[in-house]
Amino acid sequence: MSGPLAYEWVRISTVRSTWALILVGALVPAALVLFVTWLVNSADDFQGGPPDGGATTGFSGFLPLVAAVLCTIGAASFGQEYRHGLIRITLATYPRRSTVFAAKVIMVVLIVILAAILAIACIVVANALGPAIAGKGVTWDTSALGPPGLRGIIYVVIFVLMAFALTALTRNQPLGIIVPVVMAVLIEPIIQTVALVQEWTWIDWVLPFTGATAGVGGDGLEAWGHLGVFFLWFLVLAIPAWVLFLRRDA
Amino acid sequence: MAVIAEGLGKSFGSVRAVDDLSFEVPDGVVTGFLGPNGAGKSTTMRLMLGLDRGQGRTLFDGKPLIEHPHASEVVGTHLDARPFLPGRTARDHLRMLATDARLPASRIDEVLAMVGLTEVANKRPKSFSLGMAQRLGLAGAVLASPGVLMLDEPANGLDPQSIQWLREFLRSYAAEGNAVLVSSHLLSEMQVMAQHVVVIARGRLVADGTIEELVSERSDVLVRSDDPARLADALRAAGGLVEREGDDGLAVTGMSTDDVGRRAFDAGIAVRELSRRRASLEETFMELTGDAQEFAFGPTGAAGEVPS
Repeated sequence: MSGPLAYEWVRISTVRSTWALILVGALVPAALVLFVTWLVNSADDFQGGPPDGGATTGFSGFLPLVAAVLCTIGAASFGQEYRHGLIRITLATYPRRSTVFAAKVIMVVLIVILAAILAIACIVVANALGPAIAGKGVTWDTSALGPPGLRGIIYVVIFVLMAFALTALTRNQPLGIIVPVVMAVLIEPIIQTVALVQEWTWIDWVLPFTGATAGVGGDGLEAWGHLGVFFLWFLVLAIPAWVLFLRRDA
Repeated sequence: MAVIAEGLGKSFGSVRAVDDLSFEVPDGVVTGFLGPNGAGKSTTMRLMLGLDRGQGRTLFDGKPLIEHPHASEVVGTHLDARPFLPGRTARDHLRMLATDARLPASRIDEVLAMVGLTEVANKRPKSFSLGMAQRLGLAGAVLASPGVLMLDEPANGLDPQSIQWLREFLRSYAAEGNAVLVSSHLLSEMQVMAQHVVVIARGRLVADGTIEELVSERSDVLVRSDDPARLADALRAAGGLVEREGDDGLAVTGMSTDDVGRRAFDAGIAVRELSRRRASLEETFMELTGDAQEFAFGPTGAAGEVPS
């Protein structure tokens, strides 16, 4: 396993876009947070906020944006290989396909964990700086250090793994990136609206992205349950992708 | 490290691309893998490596590739013209391939120098010419000094000097005791590069042997005489296959020039010309695969005909 992991590390780390996406995934949401918190805390009629005087946005609301940016890292894991014919070199070097699949999953997970930690840290710093720039003092949102932060990282990882699995399944990188994002920001909100009218209260337990977002911001076992459902959705895509990877021509 | 392919088969829908194909790639020589377009050469190579799923098996030193702990030390491949990410430098591409055999950076520099890409080692290959891309592919194939090389059309896009270099490199690589399988459409190049050839058509084996064996089977002796009819009888009586060629000529197969000359002398027939006609690899190839080309061209004369 060490060989395929080393191969994946060189593969993923020698592409400039990997590092660019990690930076964009961390800095763009942080910049938005900084702008919003500065704007809110600068408003003359602003009266609310935490006891120390500054208002923050939290971090969980920006995680879908982080995940959407990092999706490309997951999708490229298989997408680049099929697009440029590298998969044949990969499988001639490492003929055990399950090991290759596992190495790709592990390397994507490790990279995305680091990227998510960096992104959350940047958002926390931006949340602290926004009120400070507006003259309300530094306000640290420590919730990211507890279970919500951990759930946030898991949410981003599974979101990116969805893109990974979809690309592996379809061998189509753009599809692997677009489908999770469109599902999260367009399709599921429409379904949610219908569910609201129909009073389908269980719908949050079925929709992967809606449920997972609720899970990050939620509490206790229910929050973890939502992430568990999100992971099950990943397995629904990943298992056929793995089986087809074993059976299909390279 | 000899390679044995046994019963390879593969279908695409109703088309049988490779059909019960068995052959051996011996050590110590360059084996040319020949066949018309669509004959199944690339599919066969992918089947041998386990990249395509199909029937049969291929043994590398007696074992399937998957059972070797370090595949890159067993077989080096170059199957596609541009098998790299355009945005990853040539050196990083080789660094990636070096992970299986845990090769040091010095080995990467060595192969880059060998294929003449040292100056562009840190450049991204998106601007590489086809020839440079082929060199990088070859560098990747030989990186771990594998016992087997499998190259699909490696001479495409190379200039004459590079082709000459490739020919000499592959022959010397094989001479070190390695097995080298090279597919190519350049038959004249194969004639000087390969010592052994495997010819397939429509996915089936049509010839397997040394170039000398294949060409000899299709060579004949031309003899001209004042009495070709009597000479033909004498040669047929000696076991030769004789065909009339022109007014005074005979094309004889199955006999050497010495035998033909001796039979003519014994029969008291004067001979005006006696020569061995050696078929080229191209002629042999055309004879073996003549009706097996997919999407064959029409007759060249048709281009000049104007419908009335």
